[in-house]
Amino acid sequence: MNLTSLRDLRAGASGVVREVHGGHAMTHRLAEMGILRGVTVRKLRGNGPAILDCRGHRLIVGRGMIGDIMVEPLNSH
Amino acid sequence: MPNTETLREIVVALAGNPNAGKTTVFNALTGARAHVGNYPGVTVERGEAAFEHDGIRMRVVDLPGSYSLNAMSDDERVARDFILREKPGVVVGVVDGSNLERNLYLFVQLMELRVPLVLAFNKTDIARRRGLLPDLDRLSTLLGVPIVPMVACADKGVMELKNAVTAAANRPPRPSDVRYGEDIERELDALTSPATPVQLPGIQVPPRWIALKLIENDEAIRSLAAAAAGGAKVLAAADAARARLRRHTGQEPELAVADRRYGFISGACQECMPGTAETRHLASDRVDDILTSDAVGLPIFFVVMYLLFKLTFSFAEPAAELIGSAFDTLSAAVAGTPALPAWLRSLLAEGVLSGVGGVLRFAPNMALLFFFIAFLEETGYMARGAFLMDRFMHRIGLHGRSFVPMVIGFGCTVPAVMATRSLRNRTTRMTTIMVLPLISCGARFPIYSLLIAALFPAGARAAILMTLYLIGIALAAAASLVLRKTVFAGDTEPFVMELPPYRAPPLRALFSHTLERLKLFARKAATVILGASVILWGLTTFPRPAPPRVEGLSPAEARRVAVEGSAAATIGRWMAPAMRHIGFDWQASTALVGAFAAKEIFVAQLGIINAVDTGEESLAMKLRSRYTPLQGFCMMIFSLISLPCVATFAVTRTETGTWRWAIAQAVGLTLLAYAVTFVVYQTGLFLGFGAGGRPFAA
Repeated sequence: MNLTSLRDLRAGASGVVREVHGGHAMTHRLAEMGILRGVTVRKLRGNGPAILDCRGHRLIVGRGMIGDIMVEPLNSH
Repeated sequence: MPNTETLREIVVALAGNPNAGKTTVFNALTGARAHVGNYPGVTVERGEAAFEHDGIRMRVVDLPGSYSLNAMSDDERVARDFILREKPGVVVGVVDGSNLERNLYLFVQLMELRVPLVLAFNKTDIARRRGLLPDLDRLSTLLGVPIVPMVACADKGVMELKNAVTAAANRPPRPSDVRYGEDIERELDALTSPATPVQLPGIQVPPRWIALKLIENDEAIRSLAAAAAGGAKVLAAADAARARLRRHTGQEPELAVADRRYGFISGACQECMPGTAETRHLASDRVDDILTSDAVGLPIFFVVMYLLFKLTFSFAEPAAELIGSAFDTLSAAVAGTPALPAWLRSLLAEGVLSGVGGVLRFAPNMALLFFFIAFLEETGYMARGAFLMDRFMHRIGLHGRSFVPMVIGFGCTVPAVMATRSLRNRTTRMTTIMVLPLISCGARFPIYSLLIAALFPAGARAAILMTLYLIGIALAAAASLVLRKTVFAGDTEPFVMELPPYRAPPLRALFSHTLERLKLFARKAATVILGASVILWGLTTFPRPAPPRVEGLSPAEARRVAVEGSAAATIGRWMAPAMRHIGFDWQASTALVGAFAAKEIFVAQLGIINAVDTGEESLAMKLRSRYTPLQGFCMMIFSLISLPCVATFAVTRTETGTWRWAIAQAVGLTLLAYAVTFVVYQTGLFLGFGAGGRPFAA
């Protein structure tokens, strides 16, 4: 499986979340906001903080965290 | 205790996500009597109001907005503790119908608490327009909770909600169980079995809920359980359960719980929703392509901020002048009433009216500022601001979220300090609190407004004002960086927040927010500022000069002599040797003494001292003849940085939990103020900007 961090995912691309690294508080918070394994997210913009499409909602995720969210990129057309 | 038929009052708690429209529902329920004791957009304190319906008195409590009830932030803790400990008769879960899944995440946790529950399905109109309106009867059956469709900003569904609350109080609905899957359910069963009776002292909650919290490793519940009888045994069982779940699910149990909870919600939504619509964000995204882009996002943001202050400054001016001249007329009338004794005339005209009037004159400015900030919050642009600012906030050791209290700080430091509760990390939060007074609050505005209008040409005024705000921001950034490297070193907190779609602002809510803020301001003017004005009038009037000293002098001269002998002048003169190096004469130093009660009193005090001194001349004219622009600029900088007002001092003490930080803040800021103003004034003199002013008269 070819994993890349959300930081490295290009803007506009989608991926399926496979791993979330980081401390318990952070992973739990992300999970409660809907960023869980198996969820498809689309990166809309930004590498400082990033704007994500997650379950049809928009989330802002801080720059410290996007490097810790590993996704499997989906082929876009 | 649940309420019975004989009790005529029930407590109704409103819970919901930050963007669900909870405060709008609160206002719609309670009408104009609603009192929300804080700032537009961010609910930190609990607002409370009561109304009667069907012979029952309902006391409505507006809980802090939160995404979850896991007590990871103070907001969540306040909301949860209220429900657990104060046992409201009914809880209304306010749900943004156009953002159903995320909002149900909190609601499902309310269901688990087994409190009498009603779902207020808000923003029905938006949900319908976007094709996202579920079959509400079906959803109600699935959740086991009555659902009331609402458009709270248009007062739709209010009566139905009141009826549903009454019904739920009389006959509590039975919410469905959220099923967490075989592995978790097995552990929940084990933890609630008689072998490990889970109980928390003083709180009545379902054992299943406690078991779930233990599986989620909730620290607050763990420590409560540890204190209970047999607690050690329960915790050991919970740890074993967590270890098993970690093996089974391959992830931390709390993540598995969140996953299953979302699973339950998706399942419920799919059953009630015919097909999924994916269009809701398209228009909003297209706007964001511009407003949050790397190229123009920030410039636009700064233009918006500039316009905010430009408009505040120019639009409010005619109204402000009207109020000012009304007070002048009143004051002149009182001063010319021979029926009153002289001291009373002086107290009313020079103490009360010129003090309070000098501050109330800025009510139109305050109103516009509050309105614009609320407008930006409600349209969703403020969240974009947090996004744009995070990279900078991050660089100074703060958090994108710190930006929200900072922006509120432009209105008033007190609610801004309270709004830092949404920062989860203590070091980030403490740093934010410490530097917040450097953000120019609305009370600094009268000082800026007066001195800028008096001492600077019309073309330069907006730029000077902007410069002052920027100096405050730059100092806040520098101070925060230093604090985060020294006193508050530590990790930054995770930054995740929702980006709500843009929307038309609910105008009525904007107006009522603005009105509430104005009322607070007026109350402050009527109490603290009035009191301080009278005390300061006393300081400038007593001790009185001996009659021979004033004989034969003109009234204006007599007043000048009186002031020069007063207690205030003694204090001002005492400070003068140090203050002259930063551009203050003793009059300005005296005005500074009063600014501790509230920043805007600086203006009131300048007014009193100069009314005493000059009689007819307007204050601006008087200031122009007395001070150079450089001195005026220094006064503004010193007022900006030094000693926060009493209210800020008090709230810092409350929010940090110790006097130590409040005192450290006050002393630190005053020293910083002196240093900065000293450099500015001396540099200005050196560059030749000091010309044209009067030399310091003794």
